[in-house]
Amino acid sequence: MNLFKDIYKILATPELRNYLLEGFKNTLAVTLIAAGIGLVLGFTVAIVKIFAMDNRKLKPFAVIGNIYTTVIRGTPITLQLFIMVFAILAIPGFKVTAVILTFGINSGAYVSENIRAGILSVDKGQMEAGRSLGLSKYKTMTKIIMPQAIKNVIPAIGNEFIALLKETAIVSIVGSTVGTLTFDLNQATSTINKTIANYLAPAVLAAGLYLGIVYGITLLIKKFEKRLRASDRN
Amino acid sequence: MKKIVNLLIVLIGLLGVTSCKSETIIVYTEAGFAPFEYVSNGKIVGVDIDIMNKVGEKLGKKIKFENVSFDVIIDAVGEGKLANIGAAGISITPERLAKVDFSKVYYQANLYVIYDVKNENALKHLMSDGNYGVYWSSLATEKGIAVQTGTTADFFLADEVAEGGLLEGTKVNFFSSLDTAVSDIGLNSDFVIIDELPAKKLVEGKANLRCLPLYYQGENGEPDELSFDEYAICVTKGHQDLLAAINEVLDELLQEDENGVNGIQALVNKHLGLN
Amino acid sequence: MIEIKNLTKKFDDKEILSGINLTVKQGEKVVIIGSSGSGKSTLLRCINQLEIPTSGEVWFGNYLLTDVDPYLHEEIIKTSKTFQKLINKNSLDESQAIEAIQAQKLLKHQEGKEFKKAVKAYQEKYHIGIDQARQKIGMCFQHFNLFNNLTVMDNLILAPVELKMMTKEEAVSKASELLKRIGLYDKKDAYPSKLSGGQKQRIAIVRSLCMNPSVMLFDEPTSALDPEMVGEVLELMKELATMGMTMVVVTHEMRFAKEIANRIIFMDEGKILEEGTPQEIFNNPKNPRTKDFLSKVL
Repeated sequence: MNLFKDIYKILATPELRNYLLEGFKNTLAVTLIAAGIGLVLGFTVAIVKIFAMDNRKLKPFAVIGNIYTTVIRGTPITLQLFIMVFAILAIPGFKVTAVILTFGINSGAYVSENIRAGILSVDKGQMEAGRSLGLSKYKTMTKIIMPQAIKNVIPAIGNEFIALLKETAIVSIVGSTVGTLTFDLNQATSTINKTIANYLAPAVLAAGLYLGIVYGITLLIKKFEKRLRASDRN
Repeated sequence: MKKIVNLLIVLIGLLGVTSCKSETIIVYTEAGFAPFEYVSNGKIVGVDIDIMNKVGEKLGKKIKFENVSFDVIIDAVGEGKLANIGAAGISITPERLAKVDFSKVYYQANLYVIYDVKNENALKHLMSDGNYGVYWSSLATEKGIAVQTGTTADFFLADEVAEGGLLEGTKVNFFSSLDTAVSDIGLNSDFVIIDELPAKKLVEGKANLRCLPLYYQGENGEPDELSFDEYAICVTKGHQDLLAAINEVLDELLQEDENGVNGIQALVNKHLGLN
Repeated sequence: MIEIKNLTKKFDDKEILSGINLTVKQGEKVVIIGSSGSGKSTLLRCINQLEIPTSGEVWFGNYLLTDVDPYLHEEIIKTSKTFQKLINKNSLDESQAIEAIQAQKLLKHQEGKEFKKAVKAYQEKYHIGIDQARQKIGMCFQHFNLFNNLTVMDNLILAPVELKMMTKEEAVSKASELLKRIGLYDKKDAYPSKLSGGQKQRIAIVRSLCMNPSVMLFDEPTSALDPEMVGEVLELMKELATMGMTMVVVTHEMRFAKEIANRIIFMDEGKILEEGTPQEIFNNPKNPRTKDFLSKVL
C-alpha cells in the first residue's frame, strides 16, 4: 500500500526523519514548559481566590484573578496567540517566548479552576476540625486540605495537559521557524508533506508520536494517583 | 408515526445522495490566494472559481467549492473520495504527478518578494531585461524569510537556504496563511516570498510594503532570470471526462483576443479590479 | 467558664437564634436538647465561633471571643452620638436613654470618634484571637471529621506539635497513652477510612483531648453512628464527665442526658424555653412545648 511505502520512506530518509524528531522534541518541550508555567500560575490564582474568601484585603487580587480566568477561558486560543505574538510581545526574536507564554497563561486559567474546584470539594468538616483544634486557616490548608485536594485535582490537571499538548499544534498560524521551538510536530508534518506530496503518511507518524506522549502523561498521572490513594484503600 | 418518519428520512436521504451524485462536483481550494481564490462578501470567488464554473456549465453539473488547508488538497484529490478536483493555483511537481493528474498549465506567475519600503534601496536593482527587481542573493537576512507552507515559493526557498544555495543558512518562517506571514515582516521576518498576483494584492493599501519580482543573477554577462511558477488544476487519476472538460475550457480561455490578452489574463484583470 | 450574652444569629433574614443567654461553669455538664431546627447545633458552634453570631457576645473565661457588642456595655453606649442626642435634644435622663437605645436598637453605623475609640479600647483589652481560644475549646463533630490524609497517630499529634505545645516525642507519648486507654493503640498507624464509626468518634474525642482543653463541645456525637457503636462512645463521654471535664453536649440520647447532665437546656425555635436539672426537666417539665417534645422522644 502506498501509505506504508511512504511511511517507510519517511523513516528511512534522514532529512525527513529529522523533521519528525525535531518537531516531536519541540512539541514536547513547549508543552512541558507551558505546563510548568500553567501549574505555577494556576496554583497561585487558585490560592489567592480561596484565601480572598475570608480576607477582605485580598479581594482586589481575587478580582484580577477572576478577570484572568474569565477572559482566558472565554476566548479562543488562536486569538490569544495572535494578540501575544503580534501585539503584546511583538518584539523581534521574542516569538518563542510569546508562544510559550501564551500556552502557559492559557493553561494556567484552566488549571486554576481545576485546583480551586479540587480544594472546594474537600469536605467542609475537614477545615472545621482543623480550625477547632486551634490550627490557623493557613496551617489547616497546607497540612490537611491541600493533600486531600491534590487527589481530586490530579485527573483534571492531567486532562488539561493532554489538551495543552494538542493545542500546541496551532503554532504555525503565527509562523513556525525551523531550528526554534516553534517548529512543532504539526509543522513537521506539513514540511514533510511538501517534499513527498503525501499528507497522510507524516500525519499518521505524527499522530503516533502525539499518542505516545499522551500515553506517557496518562501513565505518570496514574502512578501519581495510585501513590496518593494509599490512604484511601479500604 | 415512527414508521412514517423513518420512511421520510430514508426518502430525503436517497434524494440527497442521488442529487449529490449526479448533479454536484466538489472542488477543493484554499481561499487565501487572490486573485485566484479569495473570499469576498462571504463567498469564495476568483479566477480558479470562474474557470471551474465554466467547466461545470460544459458538463451540465453544479460546482461546489470547499475551502480547505492547502496541504490536504493533493492527498484528498489523489484519494478521490471527498473531491475529484483541486483548483488552488497548484504547481506541478514530480511527487504530485505521482498521485494526481494535472490539466495543462494555464498560468505562469513570477515569484515576488514583499519587503518593507525602508529596505528598498538595498534591494531594488535594474535587471538586464529593463525591469526593476530583486536578486535572490540580496535576501540574505538576520531575521527570517516567511513563506506559506507548500507553495512554490516555499520549494524555491528550501533549495536556496540549503547547503550550497544562494541563501544558505537563512531562517525560514513557515506560515499557514499569507496574511499572517505579511504581519510578520519587521517582527521575525524581513521578507515574504509569494507569487506575483497575491503579492500585489497583499501590499495593496499598506504604505510600508512593496513588492518586486525575484531574479537569479546572470553570471558572466548572462541575462538575469526570473523565477516562476506554473499553475494547473489537479484531477483524481482515472477521471478522464473531468480532465478533458477542464482542458477544453482552458484551451478556450487561453485564446488571445485582438489585444493579445487571453481569457485567463482577462479574468485575472477582472479580479484585480483592473477592468 | 463560658458566658453567652444576648446572642442572636441570623441567616439572611431568618433568625436562627434569638437573644440567648447562657452560662456554663467549670466542671458543669450542660446538655442541650430540642427538635431539629431549634438552633441547638448553631448555638454550640457559636461558642467556638464556627458560626459567627450576628449580635451578642461570647466570653471564654475573661476573654471575649466575638466582636464587642456595644449594646451590652453602658459605658460604651454613653459615648455614642445617639445617646448625646437623646440626653440633650429629647431631654431623657441617662438610664432612660440607655434603656431606649438597648430596647429599640437605636445605634447607627457612625456613632462618632469617641464611640469608635471606646469600642476599640474594649476590644483590645478583652478580645482574644480565635485560633488561640480554640486550643482550649475541644470540639467533637457528628461526622467525626478525622483527617483522612493522616494516620490516627498523626491525627492526634498534628495540632499539639504544629502549635508548639509539645515536642513530637511528648505528643506521641501522650497520644499513645490515650489510645491505650480506649483500647485502640493497635490502630495508631491506620488511616481513618479503615475504621468503624465508633472507633473514629472515640479517636476524634481523644484528638481533642490531646490539646488539654478546658471545655469540650459535642455536636450530636452519636447521631451518625450505628446503634451498636453508640454505647462505646457514650461510655467514653461518661468517663470524661467523671474526670471533671466541662462539657456542653447537643444530643438526642435522653438516657445519656439523664445520667451525666448537671443541667438540661431545652431549645425551641431559636430560644431557650426551659432550663433545669435532669430531674426537673424530665420528670416535671413546665413549658407545654417541653412536655410535647419529651413525650415524643421518651
